[in-house]
Amino acid sequence: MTTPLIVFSSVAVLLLAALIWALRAPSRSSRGNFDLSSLEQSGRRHATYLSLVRRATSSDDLAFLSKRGYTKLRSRLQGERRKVVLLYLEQLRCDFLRLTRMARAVAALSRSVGFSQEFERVQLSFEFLVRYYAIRLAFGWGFVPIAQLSQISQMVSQLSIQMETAMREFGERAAMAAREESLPLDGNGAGVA
Amino acid sequence: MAGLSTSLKLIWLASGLLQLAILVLVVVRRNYRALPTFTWYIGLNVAQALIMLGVYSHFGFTSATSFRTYWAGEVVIMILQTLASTEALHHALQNYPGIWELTWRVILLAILVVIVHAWRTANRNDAWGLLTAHRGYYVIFAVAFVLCLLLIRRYSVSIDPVYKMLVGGFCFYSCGWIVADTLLKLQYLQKFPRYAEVWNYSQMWVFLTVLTIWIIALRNPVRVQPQASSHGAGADYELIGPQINAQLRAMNDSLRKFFGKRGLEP
Repeated sequence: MTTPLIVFSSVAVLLLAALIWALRAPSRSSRGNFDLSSLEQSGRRHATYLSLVRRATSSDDLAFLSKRGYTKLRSRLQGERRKVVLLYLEQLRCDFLRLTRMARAVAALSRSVGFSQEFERVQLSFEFLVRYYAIRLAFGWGFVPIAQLSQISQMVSQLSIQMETAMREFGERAAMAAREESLPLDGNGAGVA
Repeated sequence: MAGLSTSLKLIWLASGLLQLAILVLVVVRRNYRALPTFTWYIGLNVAQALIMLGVYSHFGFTSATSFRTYWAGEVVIMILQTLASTEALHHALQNYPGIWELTWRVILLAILVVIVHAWRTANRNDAWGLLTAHRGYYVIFAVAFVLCLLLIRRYSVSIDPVYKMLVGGFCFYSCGWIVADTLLKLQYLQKFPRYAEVWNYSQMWVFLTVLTIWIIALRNPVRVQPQASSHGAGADYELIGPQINAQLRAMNDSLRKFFGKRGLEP
């Protein structure tokens, strides 16, 4: 008979913990307080190291070393390249987090937010994090998770497209509102074109 | 007032005084303009306490009339609690129409769940049906409004602490009821002699805490923020839009180049 008490008390404690967490002040307000310079730097860093990462995934050098019999050097190079890919993966995660943060900021400023779109983004974030840690683990054990990496990159691209659509709609609405405000008013308060 | 212990009477009196203090604060600070439903909630709570005082004095604490009168009033109070919390969130999010759109959908979903739950409980012909429905309401209320507050945090929306304290108080009160209702049934079935008093004590202490929090929150006038014009949002967008788009395009291009041509190898 104490089972319901344990269950409902646990529910109440969990709700209280969530309440306390939710009531804590956010680190910064989303409205008009975006750190644009950090966004710019993050993007540049990612682009700068791209060619290096591409090189790290090439099999030509490894095949060449194997053919020449440099097995130790080959394994060392392989290890170093793995580190580079891991760094790239970390960068990809930062990009994803940055994008979702921006998506939330756009939603907060927007007049209308799609429930399904927001839910999809939560789902995407969850999937991304699961895959990210799975890939990290796989790299740690020496597996080659090509498919997973492709999936993750697809996710980031998908989110980028979503963001671009949202930003375009947002821009159209802002332009329309600015146009309406600039129209002179007639006697009844209606705009005269 | 037979059947009520002196300490319980004192707590009851203290809660009545605190509620009157809130009413005075709401009137003096003119907060009733910003929070009309919350004012009604407190006013009707005081009225319910006065009515129950008369009913308990006349019919006794454990009579059927007292039972029916209490639960009839409780339904009205519960509806007002939902409306007052929704009102506070609406005021807090009036400059964030997109987030408000998400929030009211969560509340609407919770209301539908409460109606279905109450309907199912009423048709089950269970002796504990009323208490189960009561607890169910508070579980759903707390889940819905904590979710709303989590949504606000997720979108980094900065809202007036007064609204946070009002809604947070209601959620805390609901959590108290969840435990109190569960304890009541458990103690009754285990034949604990003072089960009704324990139930009253537990929820009254939680209510006193919440009332104190609300007094702290309402000691200053509630600021009603003017609705931001669409032009302001457009200005924000014009500033950040092109930069975000450039970032996204760069990232998309790099990913396409990287993953399009070859796969990874160890």
